Amino acid sequence: MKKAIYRILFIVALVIPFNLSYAETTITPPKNPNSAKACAICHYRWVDTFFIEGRGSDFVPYTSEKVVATSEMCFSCHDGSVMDSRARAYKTPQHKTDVPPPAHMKIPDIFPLDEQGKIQCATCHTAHGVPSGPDSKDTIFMRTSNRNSAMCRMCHPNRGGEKMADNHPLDVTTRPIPAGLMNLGALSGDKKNQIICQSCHAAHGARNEHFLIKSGKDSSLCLACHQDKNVFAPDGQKRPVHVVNVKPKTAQIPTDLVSRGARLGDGGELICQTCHKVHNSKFGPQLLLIKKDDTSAFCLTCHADKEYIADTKHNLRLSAPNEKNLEGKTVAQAGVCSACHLPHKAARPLAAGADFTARLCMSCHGKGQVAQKSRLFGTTHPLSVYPFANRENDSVLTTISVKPDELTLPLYDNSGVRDRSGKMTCATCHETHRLPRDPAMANLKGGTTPVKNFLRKRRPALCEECHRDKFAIENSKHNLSKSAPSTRNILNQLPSESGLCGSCHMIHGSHRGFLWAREINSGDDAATRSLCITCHNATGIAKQKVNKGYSHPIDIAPEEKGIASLLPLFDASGKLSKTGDIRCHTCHDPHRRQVDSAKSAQEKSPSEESANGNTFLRKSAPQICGDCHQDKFYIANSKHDLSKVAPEAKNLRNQTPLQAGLCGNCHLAHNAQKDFLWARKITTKSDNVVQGLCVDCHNEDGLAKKSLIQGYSHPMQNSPAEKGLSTTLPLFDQNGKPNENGVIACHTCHNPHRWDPLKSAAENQSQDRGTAQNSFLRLANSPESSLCENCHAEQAFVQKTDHDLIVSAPDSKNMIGQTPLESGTCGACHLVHNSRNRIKLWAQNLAGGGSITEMMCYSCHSKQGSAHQKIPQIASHPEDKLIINLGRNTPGNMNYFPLFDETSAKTVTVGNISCPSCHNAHQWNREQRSRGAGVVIEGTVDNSFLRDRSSDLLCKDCHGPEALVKYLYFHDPIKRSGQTE
Amino acid sequence: MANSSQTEWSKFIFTMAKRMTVLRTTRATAFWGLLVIPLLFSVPPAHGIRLIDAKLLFEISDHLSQPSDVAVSDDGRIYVVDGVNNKIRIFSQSGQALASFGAEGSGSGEFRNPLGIDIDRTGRVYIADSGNHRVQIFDADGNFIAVIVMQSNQTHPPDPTDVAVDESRNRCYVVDNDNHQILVYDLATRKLIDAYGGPGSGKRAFRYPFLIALDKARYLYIVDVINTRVQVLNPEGLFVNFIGAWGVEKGEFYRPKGVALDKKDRIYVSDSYMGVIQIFDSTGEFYAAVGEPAKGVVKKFKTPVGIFLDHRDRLYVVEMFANKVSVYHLAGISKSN
Repeated sequence: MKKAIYRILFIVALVIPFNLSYAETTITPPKNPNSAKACAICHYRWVDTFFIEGRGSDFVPYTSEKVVATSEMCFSCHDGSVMDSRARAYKTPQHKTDVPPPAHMKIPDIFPLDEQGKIQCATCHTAHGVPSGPDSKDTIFMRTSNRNSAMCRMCHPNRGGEKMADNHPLDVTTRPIPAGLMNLGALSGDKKNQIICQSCHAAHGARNEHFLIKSGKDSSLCLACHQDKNVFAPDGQKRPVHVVNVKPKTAQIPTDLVSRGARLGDGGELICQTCHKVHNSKFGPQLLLIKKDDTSAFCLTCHADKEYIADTKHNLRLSAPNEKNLEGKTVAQAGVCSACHLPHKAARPLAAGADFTARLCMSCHGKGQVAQKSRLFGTTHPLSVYPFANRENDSVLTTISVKPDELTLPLYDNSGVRDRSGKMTCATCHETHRLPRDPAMANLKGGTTPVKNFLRKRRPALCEECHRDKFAIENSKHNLSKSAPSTRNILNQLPSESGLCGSCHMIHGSHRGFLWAREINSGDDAATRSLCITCHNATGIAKQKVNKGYSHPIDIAPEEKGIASLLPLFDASGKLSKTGDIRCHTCHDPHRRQVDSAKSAQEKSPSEESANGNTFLRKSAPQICGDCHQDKFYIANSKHDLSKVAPEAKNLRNQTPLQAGLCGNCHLAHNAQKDFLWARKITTKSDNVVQGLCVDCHNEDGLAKKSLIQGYSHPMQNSPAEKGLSTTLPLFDQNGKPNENGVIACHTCHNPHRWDPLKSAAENQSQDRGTAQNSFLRLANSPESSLCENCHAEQAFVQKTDHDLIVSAPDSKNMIGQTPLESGTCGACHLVHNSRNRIKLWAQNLAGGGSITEMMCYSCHSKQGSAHQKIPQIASHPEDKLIINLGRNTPGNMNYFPLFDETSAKTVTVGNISCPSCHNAHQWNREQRSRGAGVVIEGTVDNSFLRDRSSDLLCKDCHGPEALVKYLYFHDPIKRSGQTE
Repeated sequence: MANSSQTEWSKFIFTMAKRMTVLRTTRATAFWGLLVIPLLFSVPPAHGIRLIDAKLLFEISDHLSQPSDVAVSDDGRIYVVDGVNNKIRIFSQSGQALASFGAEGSGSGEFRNPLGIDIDRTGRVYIADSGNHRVQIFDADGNFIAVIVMQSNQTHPPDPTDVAVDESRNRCYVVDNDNHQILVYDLATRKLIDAYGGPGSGKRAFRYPFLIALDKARYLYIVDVINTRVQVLNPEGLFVNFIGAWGVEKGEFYRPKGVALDKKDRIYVSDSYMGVIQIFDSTGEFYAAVGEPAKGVVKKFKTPVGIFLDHRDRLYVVEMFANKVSVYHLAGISKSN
């Protein structure tokens, strides 16, 4: 018996096949075996070598198991050699294979699993497949027809939409399946626009999760059909719908929601499937994850921070319980959120506008809307502006003064999404759902001022978020809570109620520029001045600070005066304008008492006047003056710099030069007593305003008593035009206003702000001796006589001639001891001021002579004079021969032959011949109206300052052809010995 | 491991068992028999087949995805058609990745599931861009040069699966898989000048021709997949020979895919299902298999498809399902007859 058993065992050991084949060897007998190539080309085990001969070959082992529907067999043709299914079937995700189906799934018998109960290609596919559609091309070797995804639903019966209301519908829709999805492989059912499983899913070739032809992780699949749910319309306009594909910033998606099946994008973004469950939702027909109720529970699941709206006016259940949204539902019916928000449509008709958040707000706060009592009438704080981009905006005076990373208030893009580089909108300042009560806010600036109107912060802390630079006002008189605590703004609020900023500004509802919140009763249209005059008027709260007397001009454009201002200028509406006018705000910053805000904060008492009077000035004086009047700053270190020449002198405000500043010595921007904003007490009288200012110091008792105008001076108060002269120097009317038809005044020749017309006052010039090169002259008058020449062009030809003592007698001196270089060419003979000689303001000592004109000539042409080498032996024509020069007394004519009164030197028609009758002392050559050569020249009858050529015409006019003989006779001292003295 | 005659072995053992039984098999004998006999069923070495020794040099994978074909330029650069990724990958002669070109699309330099490749003597690269129904020509660095746009008046749109360049005739041959023909294009004009074959199983007929190679005389060797053979045509398209037959024995094919020729014009044919590369002589007779003579086994590859032989006796094998290209040195190939 035992032997038999061992024999049997032995035989069994021999007989058991010991093949090493690629697959487990569960031998299933072939059903219809056919070793013909046509069959065996797929039914591998039917190859004759295996099936007939029962063996393997040199290359492959014996194979008896069924490999016809294995991946390797399919791949052997679908590798591109017959059909290329590599990407579709073998690379991209495909319906699961090589796994057993879930235990709960009932797989129909028509879909065979492999021997291990796993799904394989052959479960669905067979080479002997049936067509799925009317065309043969639809035959894809399926075991049964998959028309309208019927085959899919044989295994997945609970995913369809017909019977189960908890799945995405599978039915004909009103809208077509988008071409984009069709291009990705989406299929429609037999009917037009019929959704089937394969409209979204593909068993092969789907590159997205869950075999979706388009990903649901970015909501793109859903939005491909449900385009109306897209946040942006095709034209780029944002729809008032719940956002998708954004990572929540303030909302919190609870884990509980995720555990219910909520899905997120790859980066945690909220997507359609965060709220909707496409299959097996419990809450149809919206396929929600959470039931939608009338308490907005679903909304508050993620937006729990919005719950504070419940006890505010924005809960319309409290404030407007009958108000209905666009779905026709009240808050009681649809929940507190539904009044303003519906997930996929507008809940209210949106107002017009570009700023999305403003449109939302105005949908209630606009005219005719439920909250129109709070509508934003009047002027409002700027909205829809990029605060940081506007910093360089040259039309806006007030811009944000903090850096982008310092701003804690939110900014928004055009779509209403928070964006640090976005715009300011309503929601920047207002939290429409109201923030939770934060005890820490009690300590913020503004103290007990309640947080109202859904503001994110108390005022003025809210204002300070952006306008930090304005808060130097706190320690100034413009803080009305300190300086005028009982005054009220136009909202009838005390400063303690309105807050620091609210005393003067109101964010909404102002009717004036700059959001002005105070009554304006001046009737003044100028936008900024009127704001100041609100208080700074005779009955206003700043009545002690009212402009009286003369003040710096405003409402004029510096550009018209040829002035380029560095200070802000304004147009009529109060906007910055480079070509605008000067206003109060040009020089003053009402928010800053001291230029140095740190000092302003440190001041103990804002009632103390700043010693320099720079209250609320944008810059300290005199720098602020220099922003426009830079050309006046040459006065520094000159004799008109009183800090150098009269340091103890005081102005009208009893300020010394050091206290008053460079300009303040003589000028006051406000409350000056005279034109030119004169800051000094005027003690003299003058017919001319300008002259009066000068004489006010330049008098015997004045500060400039050492620089008096005494003796005889250049004529003033007369018009050059009346003398037939023209000039480019300024002329003035009696009021001191420039007038091209005006008269000569001190300022015609002098610029009181500039000692030296050519050099700047780098060093102290206050002790310099005045010459024709400085002396506050507008034009230097030496060595070129530029100043005199401006009017006296004819006389200017004397320059560089023998009568130019700079050339011919540089060491000579005039009567006040000036050399020609110091006095200038003209000054050698004529003194503009303080001449002892009225006639011609003669600057030399008169010598002896018959007439005054001869005396003037003999000043030099005498032994003691500078022209001692040029003394004519006989210089005078016989004096008792009265000459009549009628017909020859017109200046400029060729035959001009003037006669002069002996005493007054005025021109006469009957008189004696004197030196200037024949000689024009200012012109060397009658035919050359030009300056000389700059060297001393021995004259001839063709020049020598003669008015005419003496060799021919001059004497012969009177003396006929005998002129030469008589000349020789009368100019020979021997021959004339009886006639000369 | 191959087992050439399991039935004979079974008979032998059975006979021996009988004898042992007659010799009064003891328990110990039976026990040891039960232990020893199964060992006798280990695969015996291949016999009766010449094996060409293939020593693995290196493998190239580098994120290839079901590559299909390979070609090597005269300077040794290896070009692999990574068609599912729509790229042509370039590797050094040691297998280091150098560059790649191509992207999915229909523009110049873009591909849709390309399959075959050839490189001419100047280094130009020809790609059978199947999904775009065209052949694209690039320089050695992958810069686009030209395109041969294929048009078809056949049943199916052109389905180019491989290309072979004949510089001597300034033409190239393009395998049109779905239309079962070989198209001839003039390289100067890039116009169609001839078409060889059609659907069928006879001479000059094909059923899904796939890859192609040319010998020294520029004869065409076309793998005819469903006809399980390699068909040889002369440059004028006239029939010359069939190589191989249907089956799993030596000299037979189950899924022939790739073809290449060595210096002696021996024809190498890969079989992607059997996983072997067979070698035929120039007359078409079976010559050898790529294997390991020392072990006496035929080399098994994982779905070998495109193959290439270079002048250094290197065999490049695209193992598609394994997502790699294996490079072997064939020893003795220059010496064996």
